[in-house]
Amino acid sequence: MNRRNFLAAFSTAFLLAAIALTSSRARKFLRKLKRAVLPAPSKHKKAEELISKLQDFNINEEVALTFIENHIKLNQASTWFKIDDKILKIFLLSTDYIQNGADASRKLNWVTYYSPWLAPCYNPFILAQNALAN
Amino acid sequence: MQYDVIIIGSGFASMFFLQGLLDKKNSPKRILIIEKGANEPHFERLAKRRFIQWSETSTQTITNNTPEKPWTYSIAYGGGSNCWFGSTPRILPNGFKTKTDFGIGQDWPIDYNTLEQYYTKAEGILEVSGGETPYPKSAPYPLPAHRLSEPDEILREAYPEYYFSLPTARASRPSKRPQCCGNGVCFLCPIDSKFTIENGMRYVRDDSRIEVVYNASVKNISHSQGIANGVSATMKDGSEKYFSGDIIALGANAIFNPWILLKSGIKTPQTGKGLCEQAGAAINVKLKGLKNKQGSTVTTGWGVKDLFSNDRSQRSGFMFNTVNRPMNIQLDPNSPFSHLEIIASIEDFRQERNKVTFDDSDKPQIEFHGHSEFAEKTFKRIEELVGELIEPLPIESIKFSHRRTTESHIQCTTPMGESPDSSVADKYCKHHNFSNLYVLGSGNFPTASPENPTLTICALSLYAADNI
Repeated sequence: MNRRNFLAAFSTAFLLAAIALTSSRARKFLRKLKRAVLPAPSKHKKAEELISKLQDFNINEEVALTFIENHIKLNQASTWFKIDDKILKIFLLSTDYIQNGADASRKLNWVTYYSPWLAPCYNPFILAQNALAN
Repeated sequence: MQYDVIIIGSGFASMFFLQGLLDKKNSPKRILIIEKGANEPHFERLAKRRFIQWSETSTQTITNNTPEKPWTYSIAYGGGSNCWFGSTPRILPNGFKTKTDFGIGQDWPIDYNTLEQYYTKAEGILEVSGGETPYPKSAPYPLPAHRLSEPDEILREAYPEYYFSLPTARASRPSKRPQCCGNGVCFLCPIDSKFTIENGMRYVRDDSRIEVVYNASVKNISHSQGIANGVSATMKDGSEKYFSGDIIALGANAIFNPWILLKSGIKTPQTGKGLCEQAGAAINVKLKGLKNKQGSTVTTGWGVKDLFSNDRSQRSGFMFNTVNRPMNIQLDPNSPFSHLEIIASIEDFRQERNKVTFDDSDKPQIEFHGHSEFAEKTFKRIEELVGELIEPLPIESIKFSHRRTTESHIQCTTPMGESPDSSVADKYCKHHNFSNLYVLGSGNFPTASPENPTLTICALSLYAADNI
């Protein structure tokens, strides 16, 4: 095989491998493989991850850990769950952040896991407004 | 078995027709309701909520030949009341005469003033929460209006006649139903705050005059010489039953009503044609230094200024509403309330290319090839048009988010009108070719006004029953 052919074959193989690895099925397989081989992250680790993603807020580990534990229990999830924007929003809504004027510098306290199904009348925005009205 | 009245379907159109009949002096003594779906009480639906998609039935019960346009409805006792969000605006008086006032669409054979007393009656049954509105009204709403959010208040001040708290069947105060607490999952309200046929018309099950059969699929309406004689239905166990009735009312929905007519051999030129619903647009607004989402229910502000615009002769009119979803909280600690979600609903008009048809299969065939050019004209400019209307707000940015694939308001397939050539039913919702066959629901709308249709469906059914 001359150099040109070798480079062409290598590039093609590389391209095919890249496509395979980025396909959703491949990603799903790799995710499963990772979960089968590696130990699941601890709840503390997840709490740290959550805090690091909300650096501008005053969150202590206990509150973050309470959220992680609730989330796992209520959603029958493992600690492999991804902490994305949706989870971060649920976390903020699960604390007294909104009720206490949305002051990020103030230490956040745990209220209850935010879920319209589990606690249908826990809407922090409306509760905050009701508190003002009273 | 002989009945005074047979009603097909148990959603708003059917049950408000029933209510209208029961309120008459000589109310019928034997009434049969034939429901295609199951009797699934609220607590059961809640228990299996993870598996309930509010659009689940639409893919299973129709053949959608243009699947990019979904159609959503609920097949079960209570019909659309199970999955609606509870918004109950009236149609503005000019919405009944777009042809006369703006030269587009077509006029309804009934005007606002005729329907007004039935709107009021329907609002009473639904226990609507509402305040001051531009609708000419003969009575106040049964419950006070929901609280507006701060952006809503600013718009209300800017447009006192055109911006108001959306009238809704989500209770603003404890009443026969619990007070809405803004959880935002109204398609299956966990606390049963929105009106449903189940929680609002419980008497149906205790009334000895009324019989309900569930899981019974109507095969056809038998008829001869301008009289509808009865209904054949396939029962849950696969057997077939025939029920004869003096009056037959078709209150399925705007897909199944024309389909049942067509498969019964009841064909008029417009039956099934003109399928339409509003075009919907979602718009994201970023506000500067203003709190938001304090409205006491999921949608609060309701803006109708555009519906009075002279532009409506060139393009469709639209209304918009604001949304108070807690999950719209922003992660930026400097502006947690800055996101304002706006939904615009654009009126549409019947086009014969969009239709429900009948073939040899056991499902309606649906074709939808797009909204009218008038609706599309507005849709293309919706970001700019909404932007102009919300100028009084401190806006950092405004951005069109997406086209909503459905507003869940199926309409216009059995329109009311003057003649059998251009319509299916007369102004009393009676089929043009029959003296005892009523066609009910939003299929009867000659135009798809931008407002949510439910209250008008209810009022029309009360009006139809009152005029028998």
